[in-house]
Amino acid sequence: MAADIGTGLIAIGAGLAVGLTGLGAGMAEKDVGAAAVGAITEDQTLFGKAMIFMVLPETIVIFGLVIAIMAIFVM
Amino acid sequence: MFRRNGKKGNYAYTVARVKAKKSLLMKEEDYSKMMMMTVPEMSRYISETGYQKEMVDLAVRSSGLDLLEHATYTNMAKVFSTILEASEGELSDMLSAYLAKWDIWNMKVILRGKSYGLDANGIKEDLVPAGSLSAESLDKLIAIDSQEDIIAAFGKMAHVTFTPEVLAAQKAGINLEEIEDYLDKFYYTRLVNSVDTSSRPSLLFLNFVRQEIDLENLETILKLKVEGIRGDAVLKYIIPEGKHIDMKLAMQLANAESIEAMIPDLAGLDFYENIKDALPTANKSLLGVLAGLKGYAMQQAKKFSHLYPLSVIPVLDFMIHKENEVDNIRIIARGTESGLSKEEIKALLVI
Amino acid sequence: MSLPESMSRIVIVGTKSRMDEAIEAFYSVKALHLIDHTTGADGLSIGTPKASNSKASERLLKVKAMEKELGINKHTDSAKVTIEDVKSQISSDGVENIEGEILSVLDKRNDLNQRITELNSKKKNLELLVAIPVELELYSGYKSITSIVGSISEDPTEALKAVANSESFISYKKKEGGVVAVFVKSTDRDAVAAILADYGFVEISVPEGTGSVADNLHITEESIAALTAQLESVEKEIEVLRIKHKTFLRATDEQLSIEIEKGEVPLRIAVSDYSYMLDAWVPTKKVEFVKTELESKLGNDVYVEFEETRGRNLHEEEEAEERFKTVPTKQNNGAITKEFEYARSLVSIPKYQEIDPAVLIMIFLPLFFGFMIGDCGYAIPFIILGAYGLKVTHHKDWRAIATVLFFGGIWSFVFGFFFFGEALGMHFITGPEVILVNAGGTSVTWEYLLGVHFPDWFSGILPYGHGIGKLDQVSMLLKLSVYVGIVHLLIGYVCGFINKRTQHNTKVAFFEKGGWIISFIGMVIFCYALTQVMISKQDFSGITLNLFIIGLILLIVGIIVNWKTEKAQAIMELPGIVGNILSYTRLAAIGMSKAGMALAFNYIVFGMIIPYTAAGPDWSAIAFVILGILMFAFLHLVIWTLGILSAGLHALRLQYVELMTKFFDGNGVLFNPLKVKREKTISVNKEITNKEV
Repeated sequence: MAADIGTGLIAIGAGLAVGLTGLGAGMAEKDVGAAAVGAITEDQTLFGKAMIFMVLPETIVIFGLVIAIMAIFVM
Repeated sequence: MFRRNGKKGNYAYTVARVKAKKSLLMKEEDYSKMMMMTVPEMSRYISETGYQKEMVDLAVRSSGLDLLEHATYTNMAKVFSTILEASEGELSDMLSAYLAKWDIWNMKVILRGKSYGLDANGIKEDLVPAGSLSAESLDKLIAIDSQEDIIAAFGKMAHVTFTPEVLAAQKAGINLEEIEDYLDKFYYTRLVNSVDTSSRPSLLFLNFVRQEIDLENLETILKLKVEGIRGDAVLKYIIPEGKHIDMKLAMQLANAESIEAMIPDLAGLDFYENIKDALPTANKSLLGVLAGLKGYAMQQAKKFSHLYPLSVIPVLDFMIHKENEVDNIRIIARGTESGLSKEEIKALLVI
Repeated sequence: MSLPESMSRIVIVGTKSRMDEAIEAFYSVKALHLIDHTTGADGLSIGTPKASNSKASERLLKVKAMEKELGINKHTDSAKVTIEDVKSQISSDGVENIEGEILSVLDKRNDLNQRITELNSKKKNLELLVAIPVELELYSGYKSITSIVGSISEDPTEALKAVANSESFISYKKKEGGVVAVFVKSTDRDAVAAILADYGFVEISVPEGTGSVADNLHITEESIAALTAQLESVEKEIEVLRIKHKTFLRATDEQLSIEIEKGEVPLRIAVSDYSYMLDAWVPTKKVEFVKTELESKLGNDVYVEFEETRGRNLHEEEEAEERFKTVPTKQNNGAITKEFEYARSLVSIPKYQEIDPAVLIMIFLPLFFGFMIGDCGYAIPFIILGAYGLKVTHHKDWRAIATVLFFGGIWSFVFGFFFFGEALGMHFITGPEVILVNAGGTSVTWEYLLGVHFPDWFSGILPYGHGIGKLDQVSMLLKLSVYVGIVHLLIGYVCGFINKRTQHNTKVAFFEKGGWIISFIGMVIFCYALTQVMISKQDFSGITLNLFIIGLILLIVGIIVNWKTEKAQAIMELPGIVGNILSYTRLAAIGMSKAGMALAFNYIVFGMIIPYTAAGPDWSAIAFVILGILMFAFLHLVIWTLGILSAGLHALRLQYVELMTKFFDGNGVLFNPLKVKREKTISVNKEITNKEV
């Protein structure tokens, strides 16, 4: 694989897009997750609802993924 | 004190747990059903709504009102301790400081119980081991005979210092109120002073505590007023650092001729709305006013827990509601047992 | 795709004198969902519990307490008893009679436990004191001399030398710490205590007694042993009691609970001096049955009036009185779907007016699970475990998991066999591009392992002749996932539309959900055109351009339709659609991660541990083969276990988050008719029929 600097930068950019959004989602999910576990401890029937709220911040990563895909395939 | 372990609290987790617990508290319908029941029925009824473990643990040894009262308090202590265990960092520090009020409560119960000549089991029924003193430590206190030694031992265990005047008054055999008021005052003063005013979460907490001090002070003033005590004799029981009632206002209230004469001073305060209907009858019975104040405290806690969802306030809000639930259950049980009518019981409940 | 069963509301009025009988009748029809009476409505207050409830409550609490103390719970195996038997035993004070017997044994146990605890702490202190050559009676009993005894963590010898008129005994070992006993004038006590405090001093109380510490320790140990032996015999007594009373206690528990529940019915209905009145929901098809049944049992003393059959349109709910607003949900699902109701109920119970998503979960949850696992080798244990679970367990959590494992396992087998063509991460067929381990590659196939050549018809049924490689045809799998997602989401949107249509009318449904369907389709076409241009590098003309324009137009139409109800949300939520669709790429991604792990593990086993020759693996190196097979089993067990978690949770999440949020409101109330469930008590008649069988 002969790669020039441009390709490398694109790869780094794509990595950053996924990595940083993942970090962001993680930070957001930290509190939601703690709260979800807390709520489930008291009332197990809340599992489904807690799960829905828990994964909401994940959307951010998916946007990161879109950017990464665009970076790799479009540029 | 609140920087002891320097860790931020786990607000999201604790608050979520507490909110889930709060949603399981009794509703108005539960109380109206319970008013139709006898005490054993009530015990069984609440054993299906969160008091199961305590009921089952205690039902072997006791029954009737004793069982219900003991189980509700044990349950409350258990619930509070669970919350404290679940919390971390500054949140945990704040809560344990706040829960120290149950040490004071337990001490009062023990002293009262001893002076009425109750046996150990009789005293234990009213204990709420949710503070820093465990049930075992409290057992040790109960085992001590003389009041003096109890006070000394308690001071050592709960790190409470008694002034020579209080000890002298106690030795002189004056009523217990002296030392009880001292304990309250000591608790609140220590609590207020221990709050680190540089952090926002603990400022919220401080605000909340100071409001509680207001209510406590007003209660003291009214009680003494009914007994006909006013002026400086009242002031020495006043806990400083109240939010609305500062020393000046406290003095005015204390000096007022009668409860009616206090109304103009009280009218400007936040909680006047809650107590204005009950005030005219306060001379006969303070219960209405006290229920009003409790209702106000609950409203405030609710309001602030909505404003600051990730703070210590929702936890305190739950604690107040839980305590109120237990009080309500006990009021209904005692009321039913002593043959009060449904209306009379209902008037005493805070819902 | 069924709505909950249709419900009707009835009012039952009857004479109070026959209320107990009436309550029995209500329970026997098993179709009355009581609407709790709230005091104030109609000026009628709720009734009081049956008079016998008070005594029954007291007894029930005692029974429960005794069950707990004896360690009897609902899993305890106990015989069935006839109702009449239990009743007569209860009324002849059966509970009170055994109470004394059980209490005395429990007291014995508590007492022994307490004494053992005390002795143990005494033993602990004595063990510390053994190191100090002072007899026990010498520690106390002086007028002006006092002793300070305790454990220490550092050696205080030097510091104690400074104390005048004292005698100290110190036993100290560097790592274990030690013990110190200081005899001083009573007046110097505080000073010594202050010195010792710096050496980690913890005071211990010296046990009372005479003679040497060692002797005392010996005696204490003996009495602990004696008490422990006694405790064991008491435990045996308790075990005897447990076996003796378990049947009675379980049966009494059940019988009293049922009696109390029935006795508390008056608390939920309106009761006046001479009559009672209650409102209840009844499944519409059972109204007539309930009516005739009650009237035949109670004759003229009951009057049943039909009030309404609630339609699905929400305006009916709005017009209803507050306590009649919510209609209970009686789910209308088939046997298999029922098993998936639990997974749905973890989110919420459907409202009376909406589609129960359990059907969709039944279809898609195992499908997604199977696709993500996609491996015959993992599928078979899933199927076996699931089938076993469904057969033995009745606990709803485990049942739900077993159901998913079973059906998911079947799908997983189907995908694994016909689509991916692999088992345990290895393809059956060695494809033309595969570089096997013995040729310097990393792949292992079953053909290579077994040294056989599968018949050609077999490779004929597999895609590409050897199955889809999870790590080879990545973009194809990703695309497939996205298409599956589009279908799945579209179903969600359509369900939303149907819900709104039933709850309101087509117009409302069009503006609230129809716009979203248009936007969604527009977005899909638009993004398809975009990817064609940007990723596949096609010209921006012809079909692509047309698709682009159609997509854009649909998007705009969708936004306009949505604008009325959603305002700015109509635009802001659009990226969310893309997010939702791309979220389905996890279907491929999870499969890939599993395949990656399996590839690595298989390479470890067959490329690194088990030796190979040009012809295939060399099975003759027994030691390596055994090690390799053990490793193989362990590593694949890891993947398999992770599979349950990751595939299970992600499949579930796709239902909860992506699908159900599109149409499901929930917050319904489950239909909960008055009925009793007996497990430990049976009626006499039944027993006779049982015997006849």
